[in-house]
Amino acid sequence: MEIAVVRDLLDKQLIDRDGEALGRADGVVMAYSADAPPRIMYFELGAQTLARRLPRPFQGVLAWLGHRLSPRGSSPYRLEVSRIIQLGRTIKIDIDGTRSAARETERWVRDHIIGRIPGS
Amino acid sequence: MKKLLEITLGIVTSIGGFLEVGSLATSAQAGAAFGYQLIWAIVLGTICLIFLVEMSGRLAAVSKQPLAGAMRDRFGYPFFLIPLVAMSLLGVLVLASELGGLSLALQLVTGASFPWWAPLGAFAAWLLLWKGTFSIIEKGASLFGLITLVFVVAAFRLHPDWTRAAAGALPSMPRHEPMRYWFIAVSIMGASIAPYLLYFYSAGAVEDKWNETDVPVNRITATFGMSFGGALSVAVLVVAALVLVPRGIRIERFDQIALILTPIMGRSGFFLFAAALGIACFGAMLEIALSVAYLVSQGFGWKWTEDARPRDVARFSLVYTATLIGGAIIVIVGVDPLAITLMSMALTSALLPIAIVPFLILMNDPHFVGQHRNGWISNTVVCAIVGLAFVLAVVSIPLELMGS
Repeated sequence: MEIAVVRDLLDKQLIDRDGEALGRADGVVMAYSADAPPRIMYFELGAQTLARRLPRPFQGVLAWLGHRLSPRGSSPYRLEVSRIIQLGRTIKIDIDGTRSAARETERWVRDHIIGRIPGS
Repeated sequence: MKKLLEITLGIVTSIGGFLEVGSLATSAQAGAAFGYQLIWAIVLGTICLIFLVEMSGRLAAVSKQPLAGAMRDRFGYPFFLIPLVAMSLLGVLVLASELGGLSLALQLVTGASFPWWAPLGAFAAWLLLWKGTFSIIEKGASLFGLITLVFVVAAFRLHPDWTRAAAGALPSMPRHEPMRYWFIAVSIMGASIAPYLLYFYSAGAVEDKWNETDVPVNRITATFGMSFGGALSVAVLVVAALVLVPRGIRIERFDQIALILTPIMGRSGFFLFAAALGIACFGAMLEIALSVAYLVSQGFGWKWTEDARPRDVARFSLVYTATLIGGAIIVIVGVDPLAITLMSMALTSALLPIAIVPFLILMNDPHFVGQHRNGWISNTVVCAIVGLAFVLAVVSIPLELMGS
């Protein structure tokens, strides 16, 4: 099967092995060294990755916002492409999302904002 | 039999959910200022909406993807950011006008002053989203929304001249006040072709787990539901034309619209109007707040559903909460509710291409909809009407702003 990086990988919805949302493939990382053929290694998720994809004037603002807003700074989170177990409209990755760093912001919002409102 | 029930329910849902403060205010203004002459704007807007709603249901049924998710998927993140930002801000603005309408309805019934109702109304909507499920919100809002049929009853009681009304369904040049005429036409089209409805509808289709067998049912419910819904807007226009024009009333404040049923139905007409306005606005608020949450969550790949506890979809819940707060702030600050309604509807027309052009490209991409691609008729109709609304908006909004 032939995979087109932008059409089939970039920006696709990523889900964990239970089918729960992890986020979208904000970036795709390829490794290259002199002695091995280039290989697609990771999906990258996070505000910094998203900021880098915008025209320059917006990059600074977004990186700053991401840095201020995201609980773990703005360092991107990586998911190994080798753990893909299903590739289609959504991409299923063989990890347990409940403890994954991909959901850190979701957990932070739950614990610090939504979870504190009665009836949540 | 089950299919028939499903279709009926779908149509009833669309009728009850159709009218909101935008269509109500713009249709009433059109009737008061130009008689039947602007019915064509409602007709064009409704035809366009039929096609768009059918498309968003078809996209969700075939690709199992809601509209917002499919947009990021197809066009990539940098481009997706444009409709995301534009439609979210527009959503807050439109929500503010719905909240303004709800506050007015509460004020009419109780006689108590205006600004107090806004935070209370926003809180009630939030509570329902916090505790309710998708089907309670969708079915509840639209069943109660059937009270808006009171405008159809009122229109028939006035025995309008149907041939003249039918003539109004054909576009014609204004006989007086051309600037105002085109601005109201643009606002009417913006009120009918509400983009938030498309995000809501397609997300709902995914929540209800539609598949390809739902495509024909979707076509029927979209066509009839939206047509009857459009008829409600026409009824408001007809009532406004027959009640306000002979009395020489020009609508300059929101509460002037409140009296359009009183000459026909007396005191109960006054309360029916307040109830119809309040319920329609409240239902629209729920839909808009959810639409913005769907748009943002699907775009960023967060977990989204209205059927989980808020803590299990924390960011999704945060977005609808923030949207409601944003809308409430605009109303509390005290912007004139009628002005914000007309302006946000006109602005919708101006921003339509941002939401609709990528949508059309999606609907012609076999990668997403396979053999269920758009035909040339739907492509042409949507392009023509959206193009017209956009051109009229770009010309008439600056003129209106300079004039006022």
